[in-house]
Amino acid sequence: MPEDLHVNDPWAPLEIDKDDREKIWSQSSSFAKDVWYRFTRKPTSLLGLFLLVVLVLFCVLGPSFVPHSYEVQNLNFVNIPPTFNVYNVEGRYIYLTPNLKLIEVAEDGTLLAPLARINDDGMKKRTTFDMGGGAELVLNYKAKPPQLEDSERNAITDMRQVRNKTYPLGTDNLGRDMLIRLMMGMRISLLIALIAAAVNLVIGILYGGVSGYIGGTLDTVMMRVVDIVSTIPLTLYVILIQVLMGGSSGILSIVIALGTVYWVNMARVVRGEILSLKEQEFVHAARTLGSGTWRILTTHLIPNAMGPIIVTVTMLIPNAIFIEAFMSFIGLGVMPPMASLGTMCNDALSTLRSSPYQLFLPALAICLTMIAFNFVGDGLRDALDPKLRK
Amino acid sequence: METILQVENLHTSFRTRAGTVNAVRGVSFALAKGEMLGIVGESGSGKSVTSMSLLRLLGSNGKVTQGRALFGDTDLTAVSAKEMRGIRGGKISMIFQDPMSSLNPVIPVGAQVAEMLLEHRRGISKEAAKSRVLELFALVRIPEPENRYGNYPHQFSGGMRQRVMIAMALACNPDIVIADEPTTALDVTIQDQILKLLRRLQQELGTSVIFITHDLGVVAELCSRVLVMYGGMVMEEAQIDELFYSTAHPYTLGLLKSVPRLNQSKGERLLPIPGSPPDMLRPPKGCPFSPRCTYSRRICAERTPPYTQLSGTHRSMCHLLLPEAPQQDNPFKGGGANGR
Amino acid sequence: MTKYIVKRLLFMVLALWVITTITFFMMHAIPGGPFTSDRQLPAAVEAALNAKYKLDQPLYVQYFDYLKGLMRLDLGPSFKYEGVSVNEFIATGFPISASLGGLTIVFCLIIAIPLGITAALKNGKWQDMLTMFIATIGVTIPSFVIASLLMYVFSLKLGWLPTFGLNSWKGYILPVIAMGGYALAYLARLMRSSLLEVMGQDYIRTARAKGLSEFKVVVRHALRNALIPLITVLGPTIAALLTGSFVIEKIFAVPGLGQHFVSSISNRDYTTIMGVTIFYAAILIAMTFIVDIFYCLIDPRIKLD
Repeated sequence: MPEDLHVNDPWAPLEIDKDDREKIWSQSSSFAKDVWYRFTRKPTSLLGLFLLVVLVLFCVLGPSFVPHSYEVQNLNFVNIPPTFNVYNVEGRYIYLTPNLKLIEVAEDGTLLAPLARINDDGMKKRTTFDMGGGAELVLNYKAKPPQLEDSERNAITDMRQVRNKTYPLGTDNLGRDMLIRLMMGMRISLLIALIAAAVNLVIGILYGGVSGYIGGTLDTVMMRVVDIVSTIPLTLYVILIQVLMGGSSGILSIVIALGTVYWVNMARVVRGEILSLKEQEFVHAARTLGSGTWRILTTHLIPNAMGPIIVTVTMLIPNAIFIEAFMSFIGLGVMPPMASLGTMCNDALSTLRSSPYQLFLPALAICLTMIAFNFVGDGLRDALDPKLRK
Repeated sequence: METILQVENLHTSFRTRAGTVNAVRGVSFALAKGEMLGIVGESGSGKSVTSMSLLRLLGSNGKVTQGRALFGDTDLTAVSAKEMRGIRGGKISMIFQDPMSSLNPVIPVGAQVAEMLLEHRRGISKEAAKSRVLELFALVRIPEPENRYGNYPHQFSGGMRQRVMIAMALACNPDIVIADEPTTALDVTIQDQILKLLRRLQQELGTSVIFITHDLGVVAELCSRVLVMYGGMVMEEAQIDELFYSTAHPYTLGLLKSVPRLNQSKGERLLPIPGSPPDMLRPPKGCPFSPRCTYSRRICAERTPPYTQLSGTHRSMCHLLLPEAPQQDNPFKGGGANGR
Repeated sequence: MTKYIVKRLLFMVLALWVITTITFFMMHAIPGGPFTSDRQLPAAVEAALNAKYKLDQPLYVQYFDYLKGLMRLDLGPSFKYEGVSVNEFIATGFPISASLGGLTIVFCLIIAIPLGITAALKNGKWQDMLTMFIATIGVTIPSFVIASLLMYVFSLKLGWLPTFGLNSWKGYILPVIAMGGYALAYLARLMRSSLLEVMGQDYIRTARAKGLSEFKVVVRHALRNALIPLITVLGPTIAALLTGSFVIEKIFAVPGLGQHFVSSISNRDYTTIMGVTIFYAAILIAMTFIVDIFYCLIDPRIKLD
């Protein structure tokens, strides 16, 4: 039997760290850190956030880098796509537009000037253009596809594709630069959406907060009103309001229309949260301390309901963007020359066959924006309450 | 008495995002025909998982990794899925803890119990099934069975719902019924009723029952034999009398001390066992109870103790029972029953 | 049950009345009359027109006239098209829109439900991820974008399907897909999350403990519960389809009610705008009511009072 050091005795009492016993097997951290951690765990949320940042930078900082203005029209350069084919005519590069006009282009893709038409033979379907210095170029549009011919009536076939250097994303049907219009359009769409969301936020929180907190008959009445208002698809109302205010008021009318009608969702959410929160201990405590209704609402209840509120707002924004685009599409949107993404889509419909990029670009912008907000909103919802996982 | 179920060295683990959780780590026991065996333990002790392992109700990420469970000649851990489906409900059935959430809210209760019969008794007609269900309802003392056959779960009180669950479990005259904390979600008075019902049924029908609970008092009333589980292992196994009067494990001792007794003096405090259950992701080396044990020694943290057989029916897993264990501060060798 | 129905009917009538009133006063709040806007009319002609359409009466008289007309289900004449009444517009346009809408709902349900079920049952595996990814895209891309893209690819470039009209069965394909895209994605997601939640419930464990095969567990026990939230959402889905029709009918030149509505907006045809709005409102209120009744029948836990 080893009688030596106590240390080696297997029957020596086990020294237990008291903390070990009560050990909680995970690290605790602040609520915000928890939320951020859960948010970043989802790849779609990060993607959405990244996209959002890129889009905001695009439309806020972008215009400073683009030399064109969104409203200046250049009727010489109508419907030019971002990349196009140019014919090599004796060292000069000529672009044949979908409207059967000729534009001279520099080697790097910069648009130079249109070629003047000398005459047009409707019978033989040939147009003669002035190349300058007495030279002429003939366009034969009887052939399908139309072709350029040199002085011996041979088709010019030397072609290459160039990027449009003057207008990187092309021009629209009035010769306006697509890139800058895209940026400005995005600005408008985002602005409208943000303002609408803000208005909905304020109205919704106040309405839902008061209704939920005061409760009783007031609550029932207020909620009945909400029920009646929401029986109708809000889009119908937006349309009616737009018609009422007349299209010329542009942004203001859309914002008012969106603001008067979308708060119902937020009001319901806030009311629901308040209802469950107001029975909790800290509210009773605050009331015993003598805090007034307003104070309790603003300092206690609403901050605690922030989670669902934030999620709802994040989902309001893409909704608002969608509604705005939708309205522009039916013709009730922002007035020219201002462009929102929706009006750009609408304008592009008529030239869809020949210039599809005019639709795709703003459509892509809308999609990316909505995807970004939706992903971020989804991520926030999961992060703020893991029990609500999809 | 004939053994109807023999569980040998059962190990069950779950795959989670954080790692593998070893919920059951070497559980062995036998269940005799007609016997009511109790399994006692805290949350996280592995008692429920043990019973779920027998019926393979572990979910997609749980698996029996070792050991076997012999039901007659069949090894439950090795049967095919089809055979297992026949056994579930037909030969071995379960009663779950929360009867409200355990019954399908949109199907009438009669149909839910009848389903058990229609599934396992091929060829039985709907009318025959229904009349059998009504018999069962009468057996479990549900008043007005005819009227209540078509009712939905939310139209019953908690106690009544549990009676429905019991009826469901008994429908096909199973050999074994596993009751997983059947009264925990009920009021104490209802609890008493259900327990009495269970005891009566068990005596009448001769079904073997595994009764899982965290409440020692319930076990004392109902069971003839008990398993005490902690940290995924069986700490002590004994007849009821042996467990209460010849306790041979510090954990059981702790449990007994923490239960209020009628003859307690007014100033006497309840002694909870300090600490919380172990994290089964990183199970402690050695005896799982050692971090919370008032008598623990160095050896307890280093090696899992072997079982000491104290009688034909009584065994316990504790170093302090070993012949080489010192007498000092050893509750089982007459020295210092109060420990530190 | 009867008490509930009566209460709901009263509520519906109330809601419809409120909407009618709001719409009426909004239309009449537009500055100028319907005839002062574009055309330059000599004052005498304008006065005659105003008299013909009773626009020179005091507002409350016009209001009650309109209400009386509503009782007779008469929505009044169109202001822009001589001799055509709003009822006629609705009678010609609505059946077309309804058939398109009905097809779309069926299409959505047929595809979304199995998709959602598969995604839920194969939770975490590639079928789940793929379905959810597609669904998320479907929810975020606006319908008119989908419509334009589809039209561009399938009609203009590939020429497989017609660009406009519902003349053949082929003409229905693109509008149905474009209109249903959002709802399909939404329903699939909902089906998935609902089934996932149900499968985690205790009564599913009980069903398995009874020895039922996984198939029976899902079909007999899980689905019945999982489909319930989809019913609740059916009402708003129909509403969304309705508004979606404005855009789709415009793009694909479908002569439905949605297109009439949109053109009446640009024409400033106020009676038509009003009439169609009230009609839509009535349809929606009725649909919501029917869905709610259906929901109460399906879920035995709902007590009506």
